[in-house]
Amino acid sequence: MQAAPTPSNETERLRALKALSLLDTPAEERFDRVVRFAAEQLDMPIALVSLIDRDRQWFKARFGLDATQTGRDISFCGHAILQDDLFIVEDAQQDARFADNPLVTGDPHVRFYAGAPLSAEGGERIGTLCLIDRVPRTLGAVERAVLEALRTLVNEAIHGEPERA
Amino acid sequence: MNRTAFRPIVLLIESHFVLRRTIVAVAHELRLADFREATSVEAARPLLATQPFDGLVLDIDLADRALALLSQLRQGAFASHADIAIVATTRARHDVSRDAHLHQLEGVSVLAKPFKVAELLQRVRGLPVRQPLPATER
Repeated sequence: MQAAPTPSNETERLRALKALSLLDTPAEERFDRVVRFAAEQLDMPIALVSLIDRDRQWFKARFGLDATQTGRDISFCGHAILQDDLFIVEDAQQDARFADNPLVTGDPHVRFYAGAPLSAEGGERIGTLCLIDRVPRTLGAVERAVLEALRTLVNEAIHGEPERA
Repeated sequence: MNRTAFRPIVLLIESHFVLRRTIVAVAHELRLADFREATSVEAARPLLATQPFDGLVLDIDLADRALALLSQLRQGAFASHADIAIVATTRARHDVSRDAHLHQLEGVSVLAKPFKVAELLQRVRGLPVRQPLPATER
């Protein structure tokens, strides 16, 4: 198993995350509705808004998962925030980075992961909107575009932008 | 103006924020259609009055106002051709009087909610791009 490397801007990244005052806050419908919709649209059992803290990933919104956080060292999202593009693992059992990850070998038995990095207004990547399945998957063009569209909505919610009518 | 080189322009009347924004964004990203948005029938009327559309996607669960709007469209009351394609979305699977009304209007397909965005886009991607009606015919 490979833990994700620490981003080069980690200090600034954590500062930006803290400034958003989202960690350890109650569930909010503006995020919950996105993960519900994402899971429904892409037929995924699990959808999350995950925030990457210093030593943990904490879930601001959860669909299909009871856990509220995990260690950062075993998180897929820790890898996802290293880039702007979608981070996709089509079959975690076939990926040397994740094959012996406890989230793969044990509950929730991750096989497929797709994460869209979320950002603070300064561009610091603070977490992901991610989808998880227990079987290998491939995303088509429409599904990728749906995930990108929903990433935009979550970013707008993070930035406190009003809903456009 | 010859619009045949352009994508269809479709009016989307949908109050569900996440669904509406996702449809518009995905259609734009994949260059399948250009959507204009309205959250209600009332908000849609000024758009229909002034802009010609190649298709209409309407949540007909917005009560009788939605069906009345469709009737007016078919009677040529707006800037679009009266026979543009209509996709009526609904959570109510079976409604005899509603279904009879839609059948009378012709050219209306029903899409049950919840639907995949891909399903809707498949229905609109092939819509013909229409020449605008001359002002005298509105």
